[in-house]
Amino acid sequence: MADVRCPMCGKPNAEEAETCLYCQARLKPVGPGAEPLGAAEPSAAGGDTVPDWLSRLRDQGSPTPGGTRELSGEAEAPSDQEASDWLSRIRTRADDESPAPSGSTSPAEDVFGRGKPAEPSGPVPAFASSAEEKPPASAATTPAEPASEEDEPEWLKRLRARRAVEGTPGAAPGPSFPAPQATGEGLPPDWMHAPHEDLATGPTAAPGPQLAGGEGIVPSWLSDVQPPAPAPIEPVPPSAPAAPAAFASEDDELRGAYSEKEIPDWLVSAREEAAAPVDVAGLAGVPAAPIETPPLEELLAPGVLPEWLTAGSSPTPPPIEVPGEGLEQAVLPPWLRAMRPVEGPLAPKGEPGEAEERVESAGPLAGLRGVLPPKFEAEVGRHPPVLPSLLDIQPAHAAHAELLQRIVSTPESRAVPRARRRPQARPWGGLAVLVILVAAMMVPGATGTSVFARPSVIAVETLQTANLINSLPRDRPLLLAVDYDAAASAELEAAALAVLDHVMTVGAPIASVSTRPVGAALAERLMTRTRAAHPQYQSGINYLPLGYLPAGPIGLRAFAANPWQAIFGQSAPEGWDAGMVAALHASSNFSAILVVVSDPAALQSWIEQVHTAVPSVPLVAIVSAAAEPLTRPYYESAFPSVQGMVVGLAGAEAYECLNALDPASGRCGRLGVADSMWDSFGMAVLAAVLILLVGGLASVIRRGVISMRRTSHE
Amino acid sequence: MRIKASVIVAILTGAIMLLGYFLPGAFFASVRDVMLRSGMIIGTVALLLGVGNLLQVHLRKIREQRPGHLYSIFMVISLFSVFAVVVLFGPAHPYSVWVVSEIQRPLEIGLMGLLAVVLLLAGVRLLFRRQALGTLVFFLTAFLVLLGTAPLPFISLPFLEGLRNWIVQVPTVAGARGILLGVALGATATGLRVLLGFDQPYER
Amino acid sequence: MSDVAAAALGFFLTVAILSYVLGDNVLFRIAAHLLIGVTAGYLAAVAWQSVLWPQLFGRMLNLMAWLDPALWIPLILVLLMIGRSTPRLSVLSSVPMAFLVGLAAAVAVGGALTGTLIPQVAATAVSLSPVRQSSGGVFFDLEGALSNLIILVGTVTTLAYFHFGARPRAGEAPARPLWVAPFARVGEIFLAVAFGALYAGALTASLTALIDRVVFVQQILGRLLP
Repeated sequence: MADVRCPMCGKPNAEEAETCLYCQARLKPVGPGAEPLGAAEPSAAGGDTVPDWLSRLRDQGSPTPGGTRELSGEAEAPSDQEASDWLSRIRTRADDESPAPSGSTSPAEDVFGRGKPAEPSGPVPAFASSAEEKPPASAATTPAEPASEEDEPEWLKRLRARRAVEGTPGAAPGPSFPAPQATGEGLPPDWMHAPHEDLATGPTAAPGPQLAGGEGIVPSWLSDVQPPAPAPIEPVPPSAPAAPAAFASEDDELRGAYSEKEIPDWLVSAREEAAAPVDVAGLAGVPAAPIETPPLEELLAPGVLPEWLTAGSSPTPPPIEVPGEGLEQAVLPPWLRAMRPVEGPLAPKGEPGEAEERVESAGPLAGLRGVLPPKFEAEVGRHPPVLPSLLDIQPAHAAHAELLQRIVSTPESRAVPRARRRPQARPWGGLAVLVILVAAMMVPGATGTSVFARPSVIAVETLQTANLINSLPRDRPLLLAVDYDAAASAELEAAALAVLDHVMTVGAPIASVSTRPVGAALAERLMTRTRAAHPQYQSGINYLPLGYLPAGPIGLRAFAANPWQAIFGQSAPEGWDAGMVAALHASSNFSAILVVVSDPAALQSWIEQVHTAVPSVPLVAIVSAAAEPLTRPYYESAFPSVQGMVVGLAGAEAYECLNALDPASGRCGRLGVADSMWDSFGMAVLAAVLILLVGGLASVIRRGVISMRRTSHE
Repeated sequence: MRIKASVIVAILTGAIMLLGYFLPGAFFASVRDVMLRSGMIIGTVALLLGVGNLLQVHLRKIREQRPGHLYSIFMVISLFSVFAVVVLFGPAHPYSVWVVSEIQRPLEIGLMGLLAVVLLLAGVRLLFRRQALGTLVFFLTAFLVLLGTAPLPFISLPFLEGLRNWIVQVPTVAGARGILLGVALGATATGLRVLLGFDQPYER
Repeated sequence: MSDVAAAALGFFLTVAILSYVLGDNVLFRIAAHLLIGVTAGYLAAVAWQSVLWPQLFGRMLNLMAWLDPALWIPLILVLLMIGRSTPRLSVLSSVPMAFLVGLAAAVAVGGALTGTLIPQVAATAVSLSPVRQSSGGVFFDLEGALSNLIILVGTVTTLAYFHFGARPRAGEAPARPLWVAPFARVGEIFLAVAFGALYAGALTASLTALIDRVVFVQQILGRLLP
């Protein structure tokens, strides 16, 4: 009869002894059918091998205090008290949740997972890692029956499988990084707080060791952007003291913010709803299988929807937030995000980051990779990318995080039960709005009346544009940048025609270029329409169409550096030094740059890439009304990047008025494109204002009625 | 740790290009020109690959007669027709301009017009869902800007136009400038992460 | 004749797109697929006609052009990009994208620094004194000083709202530092103003687009209905 060696102190004990005679450690497992811990053999592959200190944790289910003492003994946890505290809390909670007899407690493997120590805790968001911890903790109280493994959720099975593969013997938990902060959002103010807001942040792990450099060496703003990539690369000695502390911290919050008991019913149901996104296909970039007509937002999003609205209608992708990354994502205030339809055509259906790489499989966009790389990378004005490839995140974690984000970002949709939604509300509401608008727009044309006043105040920026064009030389061409989509042509053509009419009246030669593929055709459209009044403008003589500049800001930078090379792909041949083409030798040869844009990012690119290269060439802009707020800061400055602006249809109307101003009477003369739309424009805006006013009034009445009902109930 | 060739290429390319912004010199200028022209070509090829991918998926859909393949036929026919016209005659030829003016423009402007309906519905929805200080300021600004932009029947109110101009010139500029600076900071940080090799979006 | 056909086509396409307010339907789907096809076809043709042929493939026919590195460098990168499916080349398949990403990142950083960050910061740092000097002498510009103050306060507080450095705190939600919070609250008001102006602008632009189509349809109907 051989003695049994205590796995803790190594001293021999009698075979039938339940606990070690010397250190009181349990010698036999508490679960049925399990082998004694001391007899556990590490697997041959090593993947499942558990470090000593963790294997001792397995005994934490035992109510004896010896278990906690053993934990703090060899594993060199920060302190005995700390370790015992968090373990005892788990035990207490387990007891609270399931008053199962101690004999039915499952083996410790179920509590901590086999590969846990080898898995770097850094890249996993705190709330995700808390979620990761929670199910095993509750599983500790369940009987170790074979069926329990089958019943466990799919994500937990995957987690187990992955741990089994990735577990490394002897490796201690990697350094713990600060938890993600409120999904990287700017914090909403008090008046827009939702009661569940705290849940968004999830439990936060205590800050672990700093990355290379640390504070004081790297500026704080730069250290914020350092990714946690080194974490899994640099192994940490098994005795790293911070790891158990991080566990303890996570567990604190596990018990606090993420306690199963504290999750209300609606959250549980919401989590069930989130089962679909758990599907790895979406996260892995595999296109969704069902073939369906593309929703309207896919068609609207690229060019038609303004960026600010797109941002408001699509939640930021927080689930793959990099822990420890201090760079927050800018997010619209919740009150503005409330504009997002619950189930309308603009309802977000996928992760933005996913869409960028996903190959569309259905609808007319099928086959296109979300956004093509050159445009995507070159565009300025987007959130810092959060790259899933850098994070070793389980789909289940991402799904949990997504669930939390969804709960936070759409409080209204959560608050309204599905059964109460009226799917027919949107189409009929949309139809009513369209009918009202169309009727208002048709009134002036149908009645032939013109009752709307012309602009009484001409904006300073419009006057400055006109002054600059008045001073254009006739020996150097004006560079016309047609950088708008066909969608904005109704508004921008009216303004561009008015300004071009002025340019041609002055007699300045024109060269046109575009960073949009369709720009060449739109430029030709403009010139064709303007030539009716200015037939002297002929291509090759005083009009030079330069065509398409690819790759967005890259192409613009190339154009600023050497226009000829950017357009023709080679150096200018000798002898081409006369006429308009001579201007192409250097971008400073242009007399001015007239940019027509519908997207503020396009004007920004022109300013950043071209105007900074040739600041001596004045830049004026014709912008859509939708782009005005984000382009105006470039104009409103002591040293403006934009020397003049014409904004929208109102600016076009004012410019037409300037072009045909009768000095004697001070009244506008000749009609232009903008003027032909002016009365309909006035009617349409009035109708829109009325619709909004009626909506506001109705909302006030509705709230009054609700509060009255509430009062009467009370 | 094995450093990948792509990381070296990205860092070197970015460093040379970035230095070209701040350091004058013929060497940087010539290298920069070559890189920019190469970037333009590669970007264009990437665009073409995207179109090819689109075509491939729709052709497969037609071949396998999946649901909606009739729409794909429309798409493929229109794609090839327009491609042929523009390649044969050039992007600024009257035929190409006709395609843009009579097909693409009505479709895109129609979609843009639908956006007015969507925006109005979203505004009403916002009024119904949240009534807070931010909502109030938001709508007050929107009303004043709308009324100051558009004409009024029978009367002219210069005060309203002046108020509108002040709103877009002062407080709006303040907010928009904050947004622009934030975006520029974010773009710079993101770019630096790529240039320092922390982010490798090309490794996918 | 072509005018009539164009008008009929435009009428049909307009009605098809606007029919979406009634819900997803066959007309809208046809119009949407047509739009994608036309856009993709035009894009591909322009890419070939304006860039790839004149700057790459067309130049390959000229032997002297091979001395220009701007011909063979992109050619190699393009081949690597296309050869992604070839096992031997797949190792290097990310090099073209790395080149493009590095280039775009540098262009974006350089542009943002020189074109937005520095000028916009400089535009915010303006004199708040109402006393101005001009060729005519010294005068008071209280309105200008007030506007400058509002712009300064608004810019700073908006940046405070989109702050980048919330730190996690054990057991609590990450929050702004105490001294930042009041600024952020003020910035939120400026943000609401900016978004209100953006909303009004977007609505105005889209209404103009709708007017274009409505006027067009009205003209067509006017021709058909005497």
